[in-house]
Amino acid sequence: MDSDKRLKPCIANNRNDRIQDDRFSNLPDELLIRILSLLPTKDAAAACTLSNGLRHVLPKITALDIDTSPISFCLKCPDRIEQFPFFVTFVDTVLQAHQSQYLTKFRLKVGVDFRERHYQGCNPRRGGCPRSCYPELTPIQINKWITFPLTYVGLRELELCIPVKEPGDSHQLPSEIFTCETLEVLKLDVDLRFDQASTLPSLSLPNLKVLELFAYLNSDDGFLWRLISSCPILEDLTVIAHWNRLQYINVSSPSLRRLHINMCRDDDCDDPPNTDLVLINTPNLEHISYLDVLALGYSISNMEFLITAKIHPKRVLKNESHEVSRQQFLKLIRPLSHVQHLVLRGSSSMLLGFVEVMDHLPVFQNLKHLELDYTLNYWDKVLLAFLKCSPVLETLAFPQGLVSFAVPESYYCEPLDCEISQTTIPPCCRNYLKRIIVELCVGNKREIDLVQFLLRHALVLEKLIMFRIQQFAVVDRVVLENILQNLPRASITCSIEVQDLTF
Amino acid sequence: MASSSSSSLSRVVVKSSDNNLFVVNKKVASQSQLLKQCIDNMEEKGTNDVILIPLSNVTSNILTLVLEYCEKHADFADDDNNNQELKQWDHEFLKKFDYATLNSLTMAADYMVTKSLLNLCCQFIADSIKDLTVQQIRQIFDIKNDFTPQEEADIKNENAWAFR
Repeated sequence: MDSDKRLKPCIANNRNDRIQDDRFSNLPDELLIRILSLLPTKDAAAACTLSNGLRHVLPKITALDIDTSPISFCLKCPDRIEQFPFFVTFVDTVLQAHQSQYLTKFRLKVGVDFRERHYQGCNPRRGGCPRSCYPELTPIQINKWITFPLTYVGLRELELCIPVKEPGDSHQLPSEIFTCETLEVLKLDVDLRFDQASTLPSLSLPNLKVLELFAYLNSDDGFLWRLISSCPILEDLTVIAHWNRLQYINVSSPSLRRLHINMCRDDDCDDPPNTDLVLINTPNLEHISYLDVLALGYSISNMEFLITAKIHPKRVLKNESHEVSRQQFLKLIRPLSHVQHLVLRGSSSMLLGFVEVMDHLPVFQNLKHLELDYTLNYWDKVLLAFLKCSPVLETLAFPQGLVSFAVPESYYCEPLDCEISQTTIPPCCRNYLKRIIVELCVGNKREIDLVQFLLRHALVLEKLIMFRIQQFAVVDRVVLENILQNLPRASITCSIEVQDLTF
Repeated sequence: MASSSSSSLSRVVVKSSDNNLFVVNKKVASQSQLLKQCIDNMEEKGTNDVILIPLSNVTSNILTLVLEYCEKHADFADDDNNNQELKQWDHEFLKKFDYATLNSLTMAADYMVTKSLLNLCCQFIADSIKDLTVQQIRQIFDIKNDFTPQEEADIKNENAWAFR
C-alpha cells in the first residue's frame, strides 16, 4: 500500500507534456502552500530546502503540525533527549519566520501523550519513568509557543500535547484559548494549570465542535462544566482527567452527540471519596462512555437517540449501603433505555446482582447488542433480567466470561436450577437472539446450566461461540464441546464452537 | 421535439487549449464549479443553444482526465461522500500518473474549480512527499539544487531538526 502512494519518478520521455526543469516548484505558490500545509511541518520544511524557489513558501503555509517524535523523553533512551535543543530551535525558527496572515491549524506535540505517561509505565507512582524524563521547557517558552497561533486569523484546529517536568503556578494555560471564536477543534493534553483560564468572566467558543481534554484538574471551580455550556454547537466531548477533588460532574449540551468521560483521582490508590452529583443533560446524545466511581446522586436526561453506551462504575459507593449504590446505579442506566448497543463493565454485575432487579430495569426497546463485561460476580441473575427487558436483542456477549473463574462455585449458595425453572422465556429468545459469545469460559456446572438454558429457549440462535482459557478451564476442550453439542437446543441450525485461547 | 418550455441545457461543449472539443453532459460538467457557473449564466439568459466553453489553460490530455473524474463522481453525486468504492477509485485513479501529469491535473482542478479533485491531488502529493529524504524528493520530483554551498549550510542549520 505504501509503495502505491509513492509517485512514479518523472521520466523525461513524456513528450506530451512540456518538460520542465523544476516541476515541483513550478506549481503556483498557492498550490504549493496548499500541499505543504497538509504535511507535518518537519516534512514541509525539508521539502522547502530543495531550492530557492521553494524556500520562500514555507513561511506562508497555513497549518503548522510540529511533533517531537521520534524523541520520547524517556531515561531509557537518554541520547534522544540530546536532540531536544534542535527541536526547540526548529520550532522557534518556524514560528519566527511565519508570514501567512492565516493559520487554520496548529498542532504542537512535545513528549509522550497522557495515556502513555499514565498508563504505560511513565507514571511515577507505578515505578516507571521518573518525572525527570519530561522535556526541559520554561513557562515563558511554553507560553510563547501556545499563544502564537492565537494571534492569527482563522484558527480552526488547535492541538497541544505539552507535559511539563515540574508543573508549578507559573505554568498557566493562556486564557485566550477559551475565547477563540473561530476554533472548531480543541485538543489539550497538558499539565498546565487552568487557574488563569477559570477566572475568565465569560468563555466564548461559538464554533467549537470537538473538545478533547486530557489534564490534571485541581479545583472544583466548575470551569470545565462552564466551558462545555459555552460551546453552543459542541458535538464531541472527551474528558480524561485526573482530579484532586471532584465533587460534581455537570455536562449540559443540547448539541452534544458523543460524550466520553473517564475520571481518575490522584488518590486513586487510596480509596477516593464519592462524587456528590452527576448531572448529564444531553438529550441528543448518540454515544456515551462513562467511567468513574459511583456518585451519590444522578440526574440524567433521557436520551432518545442513543446508539451506544459503555458504562463502567469503578467502585460502589464508599461508606454507603449496597442498596444506596444500587439505587444510584439504576438512576444512571434508566435514562439509557433507547440504546442499541450496551456495554456494562466494572462493578455493574455486583450492583445489579439482586433478586428483584427485573422490576427495576427499564425496557430496552432498541437494544440489539449487549455486552456484560468484567464480572466479579455471576451474571446469571442479571442476565435473565436483561433478556426479559431487551425484547429485540440479537447479540449477547460476555467478554470476561459468563461466570467468574476467580470465585469458587461453592461460594454461591443459591442454586441456579430453581431460578431458571421458575422463569418465563424471554421474548428476545423467540425471534431475535442470534449470537452468543462467551470469552473466557470455564466449563463449570453453573456456566453449562446457563448455556443450556439459552440453547433450549433461543429459537433462532445461529451461533454459540465460547473461548476457553486453558489455564483456568476445568474441562478439556473436546469434552466441553461434546457436552455442549449434546445439549438439547431449540435451534437445530445453530453452530456451536469452542476455541482455545492461551496467554 | 417541442422542448421550448425548458431553458435548461442537457449538454455543453468544452474546448481544450489545443482546440479539441468535448461534449459533456450537464451533471458531469456540474462537478466543476467553473463549468457550472457558465451553464447557470446561460440558463439565466434563457438560451437553448448548445454552449461552448473554451478552457485556455487545459490540454486535451488533462481535460480527458478531469472529465473522467467528474463522470465518476457525478455517478456518486447523490451518495454520501464517504463511499468506500469511490475512495478506492480515487486512489487507483491518481496512482496511475507520473508527477508531471499529476502536477498539470492539480492545476487544471484548481482552474476548473473542482474542489474535491484539487483536495485529492494535493493530499496525494503531500502523502508521497511524507517521510522521503530530501535526496529522494529531489530525484523523484526532478528538482535542481540552486543553492550556493553557504546558503545550503545555513538552511540546513536552521532546519537541523527536520533532517534528523
